[in-house]
Amino acid sequence: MRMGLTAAAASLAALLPLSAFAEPVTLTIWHHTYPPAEDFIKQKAAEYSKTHPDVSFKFQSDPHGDYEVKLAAAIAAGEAPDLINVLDYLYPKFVAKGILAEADYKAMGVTSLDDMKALYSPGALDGLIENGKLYGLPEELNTFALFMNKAHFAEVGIDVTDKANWPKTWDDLFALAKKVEKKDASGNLERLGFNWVWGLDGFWYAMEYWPILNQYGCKVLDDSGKATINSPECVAAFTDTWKRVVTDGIGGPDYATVNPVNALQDFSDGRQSMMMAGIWSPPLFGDDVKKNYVVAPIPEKNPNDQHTLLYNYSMTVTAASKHQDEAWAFLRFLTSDGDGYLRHTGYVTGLKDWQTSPAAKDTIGADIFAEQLTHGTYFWRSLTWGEEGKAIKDAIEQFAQGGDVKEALDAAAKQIDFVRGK
Amino acid sequence: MEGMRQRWAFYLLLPTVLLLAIFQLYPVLYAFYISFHTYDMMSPPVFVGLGNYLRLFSDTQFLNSLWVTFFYVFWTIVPVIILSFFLALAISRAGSLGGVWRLLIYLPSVLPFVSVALVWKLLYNQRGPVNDILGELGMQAIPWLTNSTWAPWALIGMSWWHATSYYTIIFLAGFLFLPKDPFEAAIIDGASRWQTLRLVTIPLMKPTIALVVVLATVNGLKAFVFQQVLTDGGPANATQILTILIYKSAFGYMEMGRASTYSIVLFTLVMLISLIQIWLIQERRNA
Repeated sequence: MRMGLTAAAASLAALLPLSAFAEPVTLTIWHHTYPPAEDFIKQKAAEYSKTHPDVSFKFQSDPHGDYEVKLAAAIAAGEAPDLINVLDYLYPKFVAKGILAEADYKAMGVTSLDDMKALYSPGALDGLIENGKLYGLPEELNTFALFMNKAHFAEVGIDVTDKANWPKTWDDLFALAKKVEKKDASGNLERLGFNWVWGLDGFWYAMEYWPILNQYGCKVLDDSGKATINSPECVAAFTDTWKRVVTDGIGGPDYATVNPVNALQDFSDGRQSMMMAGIWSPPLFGDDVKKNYVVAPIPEKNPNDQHTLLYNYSMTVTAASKHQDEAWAFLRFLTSDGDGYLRHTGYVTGLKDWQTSPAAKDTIGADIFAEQLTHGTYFWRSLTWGEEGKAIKDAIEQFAQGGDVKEALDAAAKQIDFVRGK
Repeated sequence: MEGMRQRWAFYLLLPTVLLLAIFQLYPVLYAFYISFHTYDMMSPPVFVGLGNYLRLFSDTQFLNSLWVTFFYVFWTIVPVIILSFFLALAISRAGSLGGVWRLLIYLPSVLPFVSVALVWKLLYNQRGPVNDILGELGMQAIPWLTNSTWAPWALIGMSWWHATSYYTIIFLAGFLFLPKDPFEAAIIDGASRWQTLRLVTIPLMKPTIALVVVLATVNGLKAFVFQQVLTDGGPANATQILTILIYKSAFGYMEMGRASTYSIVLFTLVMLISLIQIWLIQERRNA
């Protein structure tokens, strides 16, 4: 009888998949708050659990500012989650501190970094590689483009659906801004032609000035790591673009609605006709603006030598995770659905030929973003990026009030050298 | 019997002492310990001796914040104390309407700080009610929160409104407990109102004035919410008081060692002022 039961149990076990007997694993995922992404990840996690019944998931999200603080506290307490959402500029610091796990190619079904790179658009993984090793996968590969409100331009007789009317240089942009702006009887600006973001954190400012600095040949740091943000190239970059918006009366901090939840509030509400932003921004637009925008490339100093922004809000696995192989396997599964990501969240995962996917064809300006990505570069790399970005932001706020650009950038350079111990 | 009373006192005080030790004393001591280290919460603290303290002398962010803090505290407490004193004096003589005035004056103090700050942020908006009023008066709009000259004054002006409420009530309590005899003697001697105020009221109110000065200074040094919500320390650090710098260093840049050093400096300032308070109170008792 006992022999019979044992034989029956053995036969049953042989019929079940091996994973049914694997140790159950719970993967914890932390992400910054963005409801469409949360919903999508949860949906993909549920799909994954169907084929991997031994793997379950716990999900937590916090608003961007709180997120990084809580993450640092969890890491300090030895309770780091398995999978985390990290901006690329934090990679040098996180890798130096041993927080991130090196990519497990086997778990992801590839054999090497080159194999992995072949799956992505050129340069898409660059911001996630430290010392020749890959530490994450892109969830949100981004660049900025120029958004234009076609209804506003139609009012002044300019058809911005015609590419010939797109601004090629910054001079073109500011001239257009002047044409489309609207003033009340007292001469006060009622509708802005263009404005930068103001009053937000240093990262936001950097997303807008980084392409311009590259266009002017300005470097934040030299090869020895010393600040060069006060070089003649940088002074010219900020004078010709950021300061000019203020001095020409086009915009400036006094006209901007500061809203950390929607940094693009003025454009979204139809109070501004042009802005620089990412492919993720249209869900934030008001209904009128949603129906009336076109996407153009950002202006260039020299249209024949294009420079744009590249940044990456990635997903990665922590070194503290006890289930790194399972975490990498899930991450590959999750991010390989580029079409799903774009359709449900507006995120570009950067997979090769993403711009030809059905979701991209339904997205206004996807072709422009794809083209802009090819000219993009990542921010300068530094362990103290946050303080350096803040120093440059302070300089911008200083000269925007009428201060001298060179003096403000000298102060920023001094502060950057101070925090870097140079 | 005495021994039993002491034992009971010990047992009754023990939970409070433990709570204070765990949630007040330990964090202060730990901050002091961390101030001698670099610590980013991600890897163990590294001992740097007096490095963080020596760095303060060349730390322009810190020196600027120290100056901004003193500017804010000075220009908040001086007008607030004068305003609160005279408001309390007026209310103490308001007769049957005194209760209504007390209620109205105290209202700002019971409102949540964040709500108050958000309302003022709207008031100070470029297209907000304050500039609308200036426009009606034929004046130019003022960039209250985006200009380094105006932003500190915008916060100071808001603090006058908010802090006056609280200190008026303290002064009012002081006025209500003043002895009547000196005032009756002043009337009999034919003293004018100004003479009564200068020679009788103010000297008698000295302990309350001292208390308000100390409280206002300590509260000014610990201010955070208004600056955080209205300007986040900007523009260009014009309103970055020490508490904002501490917060950014700790939770923005993960520089816990440096943030702890700033905190110890702030703690020392607050402690010195508290010691002055104790000294003043003792002076009053001995007088």
